[in-house]
Amino acid sequence: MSARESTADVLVIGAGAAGVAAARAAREAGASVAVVADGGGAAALGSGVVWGAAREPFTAWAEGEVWRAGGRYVTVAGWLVEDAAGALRSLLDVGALAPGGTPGVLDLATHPSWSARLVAQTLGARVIPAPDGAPGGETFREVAAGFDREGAAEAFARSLGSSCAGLSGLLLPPVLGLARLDVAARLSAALGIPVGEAAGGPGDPPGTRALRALRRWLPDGVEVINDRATVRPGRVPGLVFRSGRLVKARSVVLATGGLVGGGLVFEDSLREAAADAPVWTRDRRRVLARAGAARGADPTEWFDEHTGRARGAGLRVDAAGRVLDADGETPLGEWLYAAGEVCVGRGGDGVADALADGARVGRSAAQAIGRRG
Amino acid sequence: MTTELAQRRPDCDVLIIGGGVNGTGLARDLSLRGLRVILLERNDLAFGASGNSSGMIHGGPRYLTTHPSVTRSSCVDSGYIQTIAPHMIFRIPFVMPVFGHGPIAKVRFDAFDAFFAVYDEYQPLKRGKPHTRLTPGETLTLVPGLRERDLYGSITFDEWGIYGNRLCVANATDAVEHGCRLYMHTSVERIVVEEGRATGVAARDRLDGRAYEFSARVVVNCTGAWSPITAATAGVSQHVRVRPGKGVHLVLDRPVTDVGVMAEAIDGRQIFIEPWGNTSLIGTTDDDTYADLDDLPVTTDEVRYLVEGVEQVLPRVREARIIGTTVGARPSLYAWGKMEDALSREHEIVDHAAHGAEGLYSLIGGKLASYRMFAQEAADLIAPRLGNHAPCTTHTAPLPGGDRVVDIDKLAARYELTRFAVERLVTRHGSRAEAILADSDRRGRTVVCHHEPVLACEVRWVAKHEFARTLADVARRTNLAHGACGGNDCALAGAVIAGDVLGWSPGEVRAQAAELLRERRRSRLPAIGDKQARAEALTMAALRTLGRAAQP
Repeated sequence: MSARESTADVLVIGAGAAGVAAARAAREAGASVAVVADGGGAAALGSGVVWGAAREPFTAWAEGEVWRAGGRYVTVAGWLVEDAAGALRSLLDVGALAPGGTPGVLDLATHPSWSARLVAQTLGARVIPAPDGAPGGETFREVAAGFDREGAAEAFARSLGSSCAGLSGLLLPPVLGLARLDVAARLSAALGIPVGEAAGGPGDPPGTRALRALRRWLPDGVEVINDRATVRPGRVPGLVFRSGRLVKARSVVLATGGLVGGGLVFEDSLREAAADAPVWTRDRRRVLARAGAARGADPTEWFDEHTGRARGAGLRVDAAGRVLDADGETPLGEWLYAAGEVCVGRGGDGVADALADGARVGRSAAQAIGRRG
Repeated sequence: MTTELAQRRPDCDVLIIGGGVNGTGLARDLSLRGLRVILLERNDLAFGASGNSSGMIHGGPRYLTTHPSVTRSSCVDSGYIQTIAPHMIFRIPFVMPVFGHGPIAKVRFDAFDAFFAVYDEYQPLKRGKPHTRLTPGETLTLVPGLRERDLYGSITFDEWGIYGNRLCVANATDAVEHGCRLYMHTSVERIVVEEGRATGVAARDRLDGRAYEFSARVVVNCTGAWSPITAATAGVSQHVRVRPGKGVHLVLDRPVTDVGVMAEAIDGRQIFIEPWGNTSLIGTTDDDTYADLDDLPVTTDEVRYLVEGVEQVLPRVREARIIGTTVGARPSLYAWGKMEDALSREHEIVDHAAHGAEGLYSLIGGKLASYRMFAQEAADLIAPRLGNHAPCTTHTAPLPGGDRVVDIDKLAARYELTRFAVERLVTRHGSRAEAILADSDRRGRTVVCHHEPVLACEVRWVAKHEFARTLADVARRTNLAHGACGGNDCALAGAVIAGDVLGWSPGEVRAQAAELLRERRRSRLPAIGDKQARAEALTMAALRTLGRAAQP
């Protein structure tokens, strides 16, 4: 074996929610694991909101990363999570910050989508003027970077002085740290009251923090290869990298994401990027590859008009998570698995779904190796 | 209600139905003459053809051979519009490349040359420059990236661009400042006709469901492609015949060329690409449509038709990203058995007295370029019948913001803004940009939408002073969310600011933002490109965050 070749039991392509969960589950099942990361993918563009997260392995991941703001909602290293009752109402529900009292809403001059007055009006909260010298910036990311500085949370708490007296909690825009995961906890400790941040949009700081937390959750001993890979089928399947390196594996898990993540690419028609596996629509029609397709496939059918979900097409898998071939029945190979948004019909619930799916498929891929011998 | 309506003093002299360029133009004309006017608009100002045209007050060389009178009147009126609203007008030189070899190409080239020599006769009317003949070398210098193969030469001619939606808003604003009452999102359910006379209308607010009754001495139907539907409520639809022709434009994310370029579509129709502010427009299709006029669809076929046509002469159009489509229905005059392109763009005033509805008029047909003249003709007919003999002043009185030229650099320096931001603001508001900025604090001068750009204070101003009731209304007036990000970055911010003025609850703010994103997405989906599918999926995710959060 040359230096440009190596082996792993399970190779996971993709280091988003599905990929990390798959790698972790495979490692816990005793397999040697390598993960391929190619840029941030969809996870880096997360909004910081996780829908329907109260299930495995989410809680396991959350352990150690959770910052609890009481019972109603929690942020997991920045991700605002739906409560067990199933109803995240974002700005409209600030229960955790208001245990029997009045919360405050910080009137920070930042991105114009933040209106403390409007938020406070709905919550029955008080508008708290931003103190002089508070971290500033026109975007949430700029402000969040200001909070990353050593001691910034404590200094900010001091500058608030007595203006938070009597408040049951303080709500901020999504700015509680960009690289640091502990800003909210430190600010809360310094103020002596719970601190929360409102849900943002794609690419806002909570999503960025969550990606960091996710990568940190990868177990020790998992090799991370920062490169782009394509699957090379064969008796011993492998991944060929753009750099020319070859990794041989006994199982491969495609956790490459959907359209946002880059697992599916749109080139006149929809194509799976890493293995060129057959793509299907939700109603089990094949999405034909470019050569055979009538030109100009209609992308509207891949996007749900009502919910805005982009999950209208992707790979089909069997119960074990193996990618199905063009006949729609037999696995493409005993060794090729897929998890997360690259699969048709998945991704409707984003991170939580991808985590659960990745863990299940990762375990399945590792256990199959034992059976295949 | 009818007898009651007839007995009391009419609510207005003239009730105008339709807030397109004909309706707002007429409202302004009559208001300036001192008549009491009410204008009802079913959707938003410039919602139909007026706000979704090619945005040119051109002479329409297209009509020169078939309808020279259209060309002439368009050119004359274009000249007037330049006087009364110089801020919203911009020059667009056009290049018409001629391809081929030898004598055949020469004949074609000379024919175009001769044609535009005739068009030159009209150019002084609209302060346009005469046409020129360019060699292949000169053409390629002017339009880098133009197809070199078989290029014989090109002809240039001069046109003027205009923002159709801003033109309607300016007319409406001036009308209101001269006493007109404006009801937006208010649809006429019935034109009341009693004893052979139109005496008013019954209408309903489509947003809050409120019912209205207005009495009027004269009712004017200016509803463009909707005209027959409106006329039907008075039982005279058989006398108001238009043939709605769907016109689709594509909006590209950048000015692909500095000048407009003419091209031929696969069926030989003339289409074009033109620089359009920070974007480019490709237009246009012309097909009979029988679809719901409030909700016209754009298909992937129409997108391909336009892109492939332009690609024949400008291959690098493929490098640009399509960030949206616009669609409107032309109110072309009805004729059976003609191709769409051959239909008349003339306008016509129908007096329904002969149809058992005295005092009811329908204005049908017309063009953006000659709207003012059309409005004047109608007002010259209607005003004297109401005993008003005041002269028309719409060709000399400046539109709001068009009274003087603004020093953009000075404004930019005073308010510490980029020249670009101020220039775009002035293009939309003219001299009123000064008032908008004077009315703002530092936070108000934050850029909300970086693509256009749109300032927070402009959103506030538009919500307050320009009759907007939804975020989509605000977006039409400012180009908010019409840039490359599809509103991902600015929809919520815009909703927060507009909602502050319009008294929206936080739930309503989010719902408005989500609705705008949905609308913008709908305009993009038929035109989605290779890499764009990824961006689109992301926008969907944003929409979803907003949508869920909007639930109470």
